[in-house]
Amino acid sequence: MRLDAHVVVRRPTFTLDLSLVVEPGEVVALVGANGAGKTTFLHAVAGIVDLTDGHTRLGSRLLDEIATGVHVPTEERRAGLVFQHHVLFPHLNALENVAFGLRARGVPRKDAHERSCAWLDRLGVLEHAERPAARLSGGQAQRVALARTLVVEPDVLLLDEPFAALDETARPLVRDLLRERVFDNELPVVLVTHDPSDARALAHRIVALSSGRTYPDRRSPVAGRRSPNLTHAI
Amino acid sequence: MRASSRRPDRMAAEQILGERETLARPTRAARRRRAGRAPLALLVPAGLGLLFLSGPFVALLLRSPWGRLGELITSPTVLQALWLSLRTATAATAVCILLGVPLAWMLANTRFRGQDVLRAVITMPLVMPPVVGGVALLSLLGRRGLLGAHLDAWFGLTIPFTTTAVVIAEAFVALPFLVLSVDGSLRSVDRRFEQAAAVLGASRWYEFRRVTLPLVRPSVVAGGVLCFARALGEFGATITFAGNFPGITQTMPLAIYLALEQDPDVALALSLVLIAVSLAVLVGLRSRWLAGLTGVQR
Repeated sequence: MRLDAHVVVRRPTFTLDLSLVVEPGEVVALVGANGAGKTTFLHAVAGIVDLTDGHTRLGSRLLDEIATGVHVPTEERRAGLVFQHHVLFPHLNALENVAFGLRARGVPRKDAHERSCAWLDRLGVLEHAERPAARLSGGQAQRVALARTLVVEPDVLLLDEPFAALDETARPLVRDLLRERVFDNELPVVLVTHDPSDARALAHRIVALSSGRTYPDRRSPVAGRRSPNLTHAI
Repeated sequence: MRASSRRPDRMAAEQILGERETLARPTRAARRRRAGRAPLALLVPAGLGLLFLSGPFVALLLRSPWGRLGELITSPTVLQALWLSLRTATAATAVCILLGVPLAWMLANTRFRGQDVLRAVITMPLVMPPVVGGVALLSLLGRRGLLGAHLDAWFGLTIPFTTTAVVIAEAFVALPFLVLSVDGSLRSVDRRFEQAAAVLGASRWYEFRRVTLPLVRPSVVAGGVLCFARALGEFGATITFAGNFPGITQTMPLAIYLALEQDPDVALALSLVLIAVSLAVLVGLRSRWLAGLTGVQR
């Protein structure tokens, strides 16, 4: 799957204008100061924020195109957005949070719970499955939020500051977790962060955003990870 | 407002309680410290106000025919009226929840022209004399009413002066309590929970049932309790629209009013019963739901 987005969002105080193509299996880090428009970009791709102009294409599906009036509602986009502060449902436990998306699609409870448990296990938080979301630590909530997003097999993964709510000791663990258990050859990933070291450690490419506009891209070598298949890049 | 520094369960509770509670907490202790210096000009009217509110209840308790109480409140008329009151107030509360929650959702989640007018219309039964409500209901559903005439002609349905009319009258005056309570709570729900549900593929209906409704449940319960209390005490609209037939439309407040003219002791005894029922409902639900809300076992 390939993400091809040209997102223009006009606000009274600033305008976001960002063109971004993310190839299958590619990890692009979007860096920039607070208020640069990073989160707005992710939310626009997820359909939470409406575009003022531009388009969003995911694989063969057209999600947004202002010129032709195409707009696919959020719930039909298959865009895996992981919110900055996880936004787990406080009235559900970890397992119910993960199973939420499957249950919403009508997957029977038993099946949904089995698939959810598999993801909780893969991300190392199966032992907390029964714990209410409100009583999970920052790192645990992070993993549950990831599992909740990935279990519904999204076509793109949008990570909003995945390290913001973590303490220093947990960060390398989550980096490894993302590299080894989450990123694969198919899924395009947009990683929003304000920390260049996280971007360098995880991304194939870094896009710097400032006041809604990009600075020239620069390639980033990723230590210990083969580069993804970029043969059909433009 | 940064959410990360706060525990999510506190967050949820605060959303439900609204900002007022959060702001009130730190100042409460400060207020208590200064209470010794309360000026006389405030203290005296405050004391009078308290007396004014509690005096009638004290008098009611003192004047009650405690000796004959058992005999009075187990008479068939009283039991009949009590049973009717409980049934109709429960039904009215159910109607209020079924209609009021969706109405509150529409108010909180949509933008359309005339929304302020709609909100005013919903609030009307709250500020209007109940008797007027009864007359209004009669003009719609009465035998010669706008709709009632047709119901009568086409289906042989007559609503006024039936138990159904009691439920309608009670629901009519109680509905605003539920709508206002739930509307306020819906407005303070963190939008991101609904966004998260949508991103995960939930339809708006699924999102409402599994995310929004559980988050505002305390306000639905609180509104429901208010509705029940209001319905239980309904007098004006009921007697206007439903009349005063023992066993069919004679609820407790009507029975009390009638008894006052014949035997004041019966009126006092009935009042005690009504106070006890109201208190039992409030105390029972309050402690249970407050415990659920704050995570504190009581």
